[in-house]
Amino acid sequence: MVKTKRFFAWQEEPILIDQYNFQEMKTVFSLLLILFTTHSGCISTNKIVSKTIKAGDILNNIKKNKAITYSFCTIEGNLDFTELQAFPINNTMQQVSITSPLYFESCTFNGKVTAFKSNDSLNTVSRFVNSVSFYNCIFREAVDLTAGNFNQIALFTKSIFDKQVTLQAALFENDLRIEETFFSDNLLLQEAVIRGAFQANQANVTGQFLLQQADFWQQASLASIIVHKYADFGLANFRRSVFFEYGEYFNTVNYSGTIFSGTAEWNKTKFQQSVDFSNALFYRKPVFSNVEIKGSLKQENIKYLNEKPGFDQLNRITPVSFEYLSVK
Amino acid sequence: MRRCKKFLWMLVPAVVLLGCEKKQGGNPDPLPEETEFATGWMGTDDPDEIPSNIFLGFGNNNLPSSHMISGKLPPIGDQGRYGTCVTWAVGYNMKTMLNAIDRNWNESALASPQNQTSPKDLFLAIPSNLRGSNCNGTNFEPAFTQLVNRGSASLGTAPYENMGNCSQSPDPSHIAEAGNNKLSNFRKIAMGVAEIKTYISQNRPVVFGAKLGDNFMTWRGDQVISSHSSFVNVGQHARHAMMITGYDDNKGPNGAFRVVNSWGSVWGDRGFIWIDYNFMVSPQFGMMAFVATNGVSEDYDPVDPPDNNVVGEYDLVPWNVEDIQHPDGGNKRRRMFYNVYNRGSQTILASERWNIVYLYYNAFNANDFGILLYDEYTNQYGQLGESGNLASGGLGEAGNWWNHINLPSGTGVAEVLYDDTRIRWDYTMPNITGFYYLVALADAFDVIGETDEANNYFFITDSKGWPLYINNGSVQNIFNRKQDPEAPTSGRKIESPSPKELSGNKNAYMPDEISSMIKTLKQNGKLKAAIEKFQSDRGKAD
Repeated sequence: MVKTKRFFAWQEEPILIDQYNFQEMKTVFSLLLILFTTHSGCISTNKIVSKTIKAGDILNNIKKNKAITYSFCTIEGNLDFTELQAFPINNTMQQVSITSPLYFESCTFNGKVTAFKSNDSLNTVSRFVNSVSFYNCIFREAVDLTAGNFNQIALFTKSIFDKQVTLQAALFENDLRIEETFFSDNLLLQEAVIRGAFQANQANVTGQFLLQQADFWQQASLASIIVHKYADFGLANFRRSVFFEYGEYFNTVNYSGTIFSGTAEWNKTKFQQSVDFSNALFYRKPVFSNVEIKGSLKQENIKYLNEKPGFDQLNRITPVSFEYLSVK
Repeated sequence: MRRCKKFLWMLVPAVVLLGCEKKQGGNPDPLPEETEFATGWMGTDDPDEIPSNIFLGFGNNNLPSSHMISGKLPPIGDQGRYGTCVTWAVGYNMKTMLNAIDRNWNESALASPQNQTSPKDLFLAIPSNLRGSNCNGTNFEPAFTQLVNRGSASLGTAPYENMGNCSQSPDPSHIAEAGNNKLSNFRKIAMGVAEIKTYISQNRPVVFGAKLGDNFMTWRGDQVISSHSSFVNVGQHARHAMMITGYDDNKGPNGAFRVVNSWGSVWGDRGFIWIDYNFMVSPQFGMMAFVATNGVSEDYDPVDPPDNNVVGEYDLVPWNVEDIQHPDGGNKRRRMFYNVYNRGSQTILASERWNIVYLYYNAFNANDFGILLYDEYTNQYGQLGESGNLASGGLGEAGNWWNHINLPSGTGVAEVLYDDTRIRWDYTMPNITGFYYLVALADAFDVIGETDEANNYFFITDSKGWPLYINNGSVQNIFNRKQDPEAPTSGRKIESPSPKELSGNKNAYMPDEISSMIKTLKQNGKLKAAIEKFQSDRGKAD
């Protein structure tokens, strides 16, 4: 076999997945699929293991700093990273550090996935030193990664979450990818900091989509996203471009106090209920094209700074151009 | 150290956010230079020491979708750099609002310092050992207690200035005015959305203590705050007192409470903030909440009829209730005496089917109660003049009897039944431990329309009016009043003891609260269940 690296379309950096090249891997993968279907097994890095994996076994491998790579597995039990050894930060905080890269593909998690624990006197948070990838996975229970620190890419692409996903105050030092991901409940991203790109194209959030005070350092793409309940971008900070085209929001959407420092585009975006842009700040002229708003549009105190303002124009306030915005 | 640094870095997203906003000119309305606000709730109130409110409206699905009582607030206050948030919330905001509601003050009246409760006078009135040095915080319980016992002068009399290090005593000349500005009582309530909304809908402001994060300190605008995670600037113990003045089901993702702060009108939404329902009641934020009843407790004496010369048709009064250790010994065996008089002008017929209940209840937890004795006066059983055991089996030791008698005007049940001054029952105290009141309650189901419902209660306390400490069923320091040989007939002024009447814990449950509790227990079936359990237990014992 030829050692190589596998490139996913959504990855900027290659991630070493296995010791096969991509084409070979496809073939082998198919063969293995057939093999494992008949043998009820699943794929791990080095060996064929039983179809069902205990969450505790994964934690044990993490303790040994082993790379975690599973495909087509069912993980039983709660995958609680806070059960790993934590190191005190101060009297009220401790941190678990997960150095193993985590890669799960087409796996089903029947228990909770937890990286945060809080009680009256002590909070436990988790730091993921390497990449964290859950591709095409199913999560039957709640996922709580509150205040998690993701040093590398965090990927949930094409996954399905049956319960609430909490990423509040998480720090993503690389990309956060949730494209084509289905959230059956709420997706909570308040106060999250995403220093890499945010890719949420074609994500579907059945519950609330809360990003209040979230901070996006790079491009954020929410094209064709569907949100069924309240979407809150209030006080979020988009430092680069953000794209909302073809998105559809079935409930109230709040952009109040949101800062758009780069290009902000709403093309063919549908708002089935009201939208609040009050106190939003645009550094560049936003693009609204064929946008539909079936509820009310609130735009008091929107502040628009010219694209390249001179010193005397920096604080000049002019109304945002909504010439293509239609309120039905 | 490296881990520590990285962790801190992880915890500061909000700080980073704010810092970067400034660099980019991102905040359209930057805060003034002074952005550090003082808090001042110590957060060490012992909830077990504060009575819980008897909540009657739980499950009410007919609340309006929004309700605001902010119109009865004084102008937004500013505690400045002092840790006096508790007295701003409890005194300046809550007490002033309660006065405004009771007296229907308008905006002009509310703007007058003479009508505003002074947070300084209230803070200084708190014993120095119950507040931090250098004006550094206090708890709700001592602040409320001062408002119940002493009251507070107005801001006009005691302006919020010259605070110094708060080591001084309150000006003695303020006491007289403070005495006319008291609360009757305060109660802790559950941190629940439905419960808080119900109180607000009843125009009852709710003060609460919360744990603050960094984002709270710099909040601007009318956004609904729904989370916090960074505590780098405020630290892990930023406890703060504020007051809820409204709610709106349609604000934010889940609905939100309107909260008034004491950080001036520059902060938040002109001094207010919207707090998400779920966030408010999450353990990460809201920690405890209180309501209060306005008024001067000395002026409120429910055990005394409004006019003793008024002769009504019916009026039941428990009389000469006494509870002693059983003469045969044993820590838990006890003997109870009672009589119930009809002070009214008309005979109370057995067909009215009234009762008397003798129960214990926890002085700080209305859900902790139990039946000790239960007698019915009814025509359901036997013939007129007969009595019997309600439970199956033989004679019960602890009450639980039916008495088929009519009670003529000016007569006691003991006289009718036994031609005696009191009825005697023996019972065994359950294995309870804690602070409890014992109370005899006539007409517990409130079936008789009486001239004075408030005198249906007879409380047994210790000699100072405090609740009794019961240690595993052993009653400590019980105080039995001397028997009054004279019947409490109509026209005679009577003084049935109640907790508030005796010096001591003025914040104990009031008789009207016990009445509310009993009614609620009746409505939700818990009283019946408790009586049935009592009867069942008695039946087994027999």
